[in-house]
Amino acid sequence: MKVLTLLIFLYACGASPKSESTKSPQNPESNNPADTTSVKTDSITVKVNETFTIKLGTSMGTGYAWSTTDSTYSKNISLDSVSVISNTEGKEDGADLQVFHFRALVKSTTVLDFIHKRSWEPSEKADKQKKYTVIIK
Amino acid sequence: MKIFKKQHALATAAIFCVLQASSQIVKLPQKYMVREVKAPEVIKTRLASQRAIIVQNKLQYNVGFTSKSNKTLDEITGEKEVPESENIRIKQYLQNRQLTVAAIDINKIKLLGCFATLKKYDARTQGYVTPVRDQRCGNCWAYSALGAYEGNYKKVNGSLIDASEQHAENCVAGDCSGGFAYQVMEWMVDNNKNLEKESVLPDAGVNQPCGGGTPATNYYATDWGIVDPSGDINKIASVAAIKEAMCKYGPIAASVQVTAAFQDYTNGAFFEFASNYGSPSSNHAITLVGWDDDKGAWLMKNSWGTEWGEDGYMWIKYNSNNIGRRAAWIIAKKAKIIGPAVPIKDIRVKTQ
Repeated sequence: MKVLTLLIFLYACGASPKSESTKSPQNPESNNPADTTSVKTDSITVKVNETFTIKLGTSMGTGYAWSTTDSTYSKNISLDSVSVISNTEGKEDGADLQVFHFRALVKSTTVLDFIHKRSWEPSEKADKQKKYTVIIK
Repeated sequence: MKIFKKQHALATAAIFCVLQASSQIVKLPQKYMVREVKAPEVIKTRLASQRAIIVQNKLQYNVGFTSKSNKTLDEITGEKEVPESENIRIKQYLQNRQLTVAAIDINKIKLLGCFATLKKYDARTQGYVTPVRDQRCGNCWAYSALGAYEGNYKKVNGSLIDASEQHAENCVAGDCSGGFAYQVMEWMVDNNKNLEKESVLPDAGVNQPCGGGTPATNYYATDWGIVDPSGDINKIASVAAIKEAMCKYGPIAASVQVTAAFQDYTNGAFFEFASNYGSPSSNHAITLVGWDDDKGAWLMKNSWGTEWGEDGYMWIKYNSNNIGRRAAWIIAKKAKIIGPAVPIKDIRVKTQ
């Protein structure tokens, strides 16, 4: 079965290896709730019954994780599972990768809306948002 | 408005009834029930799914308010360890290092009311735990180290302080994208570095350069060490060793493996997967501040604010999620007491 993999590395608090990180006062990838990040939209084109994955960078240790904002997509797209590739650098609060495994169900155009937040905090405190337009042919 | 309030109350009551119907599940605190009323359906579905697993496995915790997917979250461990060369360096460093005289004296006194043989101990009740903080980026490791330091400072100097995690973050190898608590301890002890006050240098949520100069504080440390007798920073220390260390040094810095269920924890004794003592992994640093053998669990202080878990704390089973890995202690330096000015007697010898 054809699998479309979309790799998106959006690190919640900086996922670059230590050797590449810099101590800059302007870190645009912090978890500071006051930070504003514009919502980027990418599109994915798949066929009915095709599976595809979306990978989003986070740091589980900070309490932040990616989630879909609602389940309205479920008429057209099935979320089969979510997995986490943990902390590939071995640091506490290091970079993790959330992998969302989807399946296209019916011909449609659907927007998958992700937010990056702590589960116990309100959506207004989300520090990042990401949208994907999924075109199922 | 009245109708809305009535609906809200009915919805809260409905959730309460559903939760209590599962008699084996730990009761959800009121604040989480209220939050759940407003949660989207997808979230309610996921919580129901997680609670089914909790009941099925007779686990003793609960989950709440979440906005992640309603599917099973599998953990794939891909963690690299602290490099073996670094691990060997730490072991040799600790083997060659003798406790300072001050530390030996300090260690003769145990934490108030703390005995490793006790069934329960809570360092909060004896005033050794500073308030729960809320980290602003990937700097849990600084909060973990300073949680231990601030607790020991109370033991040594008798007062609770609030030291600057940002200062540690600025000057130690770690940063907003992660690090290790032991590096803060080593930096303070080996370089005779003192920490700034939180009020002077608060957590900015971003990396900053390490400023020069010496802060006007007495937040120094004299000694640090790893709880596991092998000195292996990557190991999970035994329950007995951590209890002994806590009574000796105060709150202990340690690591744990955070997952989605961990993030969703509300109350009870958390257990998700059995710790892998042979090859543990971890992605978050915390502070251990007590234990309860009846629960079979550590009392863990997190740095995610007081809205998470039990007012910022979690009870976590001794053998769950690799808790107790990288357990480390630190000893604060005895502060010099600068008293009020005292009139000096005129001791000049009068000559005749």
